[in-house]
Amino acid sequence: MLADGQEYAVNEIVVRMKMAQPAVSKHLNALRKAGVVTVVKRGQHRMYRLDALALKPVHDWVRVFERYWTHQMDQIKQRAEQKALERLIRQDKDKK
Amino acid sequence: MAATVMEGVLHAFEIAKEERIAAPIEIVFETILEQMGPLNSTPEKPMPMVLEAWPGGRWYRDLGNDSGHFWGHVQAIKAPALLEISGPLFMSNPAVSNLQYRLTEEDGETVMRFRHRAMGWVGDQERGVDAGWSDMLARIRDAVTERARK
Repeated sequence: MLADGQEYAVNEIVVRMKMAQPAVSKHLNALRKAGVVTVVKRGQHRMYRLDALALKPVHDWVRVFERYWTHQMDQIKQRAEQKALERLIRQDKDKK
Repeated sequence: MAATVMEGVLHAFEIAKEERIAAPIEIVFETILEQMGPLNSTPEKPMPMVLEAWPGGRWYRDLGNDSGHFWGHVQAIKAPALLEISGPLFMSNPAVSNLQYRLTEEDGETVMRFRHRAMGWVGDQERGVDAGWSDMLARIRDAVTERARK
C-alpha cells in the first residue's frame, strides 16, 4: 500500500489492509525503527510514508550477489554434468 | 574524536536458489569446491580463490606478496552433502554472511539447495560515511605531504 509513495494515516492503513489497529501500529513501528518508513505528525494524525531510499543499499547488495550466485550455480551445474557425462563415456569404453 | 550513534542502518537479506543437476552427488560436491576455489569467476572474468576445504579453513583471494582479500571461513563441511561458509565475503562493511550448499540425491539426480543469508550495516556510501572517510583520507594525505616537505 505504501509502495505508491503517498502518505497515509494509521486509520487509512487499517481500513485498506483490513487489519486490527494495534497490529498495524506494531508493524509500522517496527518498519519505522528499521528506517523503512518515515513518520510526520500532521494535526491529529501521524502520517507514514515509505522511505524507498533507505531500502536502496540492501537492494543493491542483493542484486550484486544474486547475479554472482546465479552465475556460480550455472557454472557448477554445467561443469558437474559435463564431468558426469565424461565418466559415463569412460566407464562405457572400459566395458568394451 | 567524534563518535556517531547510527540508527536504522542494519539490514538483513536472504537469497535462496535450488538447482537439479544430472550428476552424482560426489561429482557435484567436488565441482562446488572447484568453482568456489581455483575456478571461481564473476560473469565478467575469472577470479580464482583459495578454498581450504576443512573446518575453519579459509576462503580468500590470494593476490600474491601477502596481499589479498579474506571472504570467509569454512563453518561446516561434510562431503558430499554440506558446505557452509561464514564471513564478510566482499562486503567492506560491518556485515556478516552465512552461505550453505546442501546436496541430496533424488531420483538419480542431485538437488543443490543454496542459501545466502546476510546481516549488518550495508550501503555506507548512501549514508554519508563515504564522504566522511574521504575527508579523513584527504587530511591524512595533506599531513603526509606536509611532513615530506619538512
